Amino acid sequence: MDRPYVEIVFEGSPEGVKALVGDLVRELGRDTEYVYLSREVGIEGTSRIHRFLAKAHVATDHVHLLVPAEHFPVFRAAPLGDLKIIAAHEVIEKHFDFSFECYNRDHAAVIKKIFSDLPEGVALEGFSPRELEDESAKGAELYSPTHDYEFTGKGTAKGPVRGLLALKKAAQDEPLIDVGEVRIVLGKDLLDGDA
Amino acid sequence: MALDFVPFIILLGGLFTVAGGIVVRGSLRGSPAVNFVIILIGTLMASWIGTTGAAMVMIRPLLRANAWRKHQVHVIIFFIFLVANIGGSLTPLGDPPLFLGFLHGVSFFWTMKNILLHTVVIAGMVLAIFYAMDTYYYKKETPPPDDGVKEPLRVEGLLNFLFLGGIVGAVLMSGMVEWGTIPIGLGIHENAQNLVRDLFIVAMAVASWVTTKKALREANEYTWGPILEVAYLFAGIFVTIIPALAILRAGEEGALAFLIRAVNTPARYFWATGILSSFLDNAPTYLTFFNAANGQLYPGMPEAQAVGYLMGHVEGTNFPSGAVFLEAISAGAVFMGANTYIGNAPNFMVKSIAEEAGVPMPSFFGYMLRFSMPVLIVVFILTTFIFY
Repeated sequence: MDRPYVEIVFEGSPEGVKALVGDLVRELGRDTEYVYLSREVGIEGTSRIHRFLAKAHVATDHVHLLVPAEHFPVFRAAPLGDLKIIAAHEVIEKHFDFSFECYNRDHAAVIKKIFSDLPEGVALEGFSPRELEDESAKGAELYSPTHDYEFTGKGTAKGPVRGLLALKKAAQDEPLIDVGEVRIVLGKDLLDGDA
Repeated sequence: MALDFVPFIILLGGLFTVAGGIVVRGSLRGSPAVNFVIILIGTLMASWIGTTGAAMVMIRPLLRANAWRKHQVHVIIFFIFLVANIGGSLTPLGDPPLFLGFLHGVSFFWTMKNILLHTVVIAGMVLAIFYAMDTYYYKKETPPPDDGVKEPLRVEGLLNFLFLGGIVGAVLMSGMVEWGTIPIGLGIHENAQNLVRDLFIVAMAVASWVTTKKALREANEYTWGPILEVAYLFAGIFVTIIPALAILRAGEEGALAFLIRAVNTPARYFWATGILSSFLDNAPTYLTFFNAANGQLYPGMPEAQAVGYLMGHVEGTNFPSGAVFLEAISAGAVFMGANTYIGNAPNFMVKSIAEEAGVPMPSFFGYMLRFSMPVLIVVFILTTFIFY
């Protein structure tokens, strides 16, 4: 099930935002573990340059937090201390790109399993893996850019936040898969109308 | 051309066949210390069994030791730097350009005597960077799995070390004795000691092939493909390089006078030889600048005489020593072959074997931008200031 999420952008430190989430454990209950700090799980958020400038005290750090939509009011009502919510939007789409080049059958089996046993609700788009076996290339790899076994592919994974992050974690654990950041498409501005 | 090509291929083929019969087995855990020792052993071996042979013998134990690690790309890259290139700098057996120098009169131990300090400094810096980098990544690893199987470390195919000694002895012998010349047809005369050397190397390769168990060669995934490829490639290179070398020997009187004038200091020889060796094969590049130096320093002098001066000052003559130039050419050709995947034949071999073992090796430009430029180029710049 595609559980709706909200992206909240805080002005402040990541430690401050983590402390806030910790303070809200009672209100969030078991959902605490489904609140994600974007930079920790590889969701596109504040740019690296902005983070660098923040570390150099040239800019204020922005921390992106993904929270299940029903808990957004909890964050809005919470005492924020030094933090400030500067943006909040509905998340309407989440996806990440991946690609792999594999010349080893054991690793290929792992990759096939990762992209066939998908978490609930996650789907792959534009994914057409290519598997080639060429016995005549055996031995030739020592002096030419060829291999007797090749398994290559690329695509985009889309789906609910929780499943998508589970797939991203599994893909990242396999060294031959290049995994991009999770990109999110934002919808309605939830602070619209605030003073 | 044949006098360079045939002995060149015989030596490469001999070392490749003998090294292909040596297998290192055993359970090793790829910690920074273990990786350091494996790469150090490979580096030390490279000057005696060739960079290709050392890479072939040591790459699989290194891959097995690091198979459990998530961060292992840098280990393979530094293996290419050190075992497949830098380690081969001390003898004519180590790297093809040095053997070409030997065929043209550079004595067997000249490189060891003159390049040893370069090698120690460069290998020391690169090994230190490797150890620091590997320690950093090792701390990020999850603990190694206990697979329960502990295979003791052992080397198989030991008889091949005897054949290897035979090859070393044959090459040494050919540089130490003078047995006159023998006509070998088509009006060509060859030194008798060179013919004996080549026949002996072939005999060592045949003996290795006959006495080594097939299973050992299968463990190294030994095929004739690489050496055949080298033979085809160098046949073409050696034919096409003949006019270029003649022009270079003409020095400032020749058509490449601008090159001779531009490359006129040891530092420039080091970088010119090195940059070309990074993208072309380092053996013909060495020969090109070897001839350019002869043409520049001793124009019109017969090669046999000029090489003597190029190795060092000859008492009782007024010609300057060209040793620092030959050092720069040798160092540039051998060390900078590591700058790209195509700079030296074993680089590509190691990349392919690692990829088939599941290591996500970087692309051609990824290798240069992430590893060779930040590590090797910086080390070579320091080397230039230290030695030239």
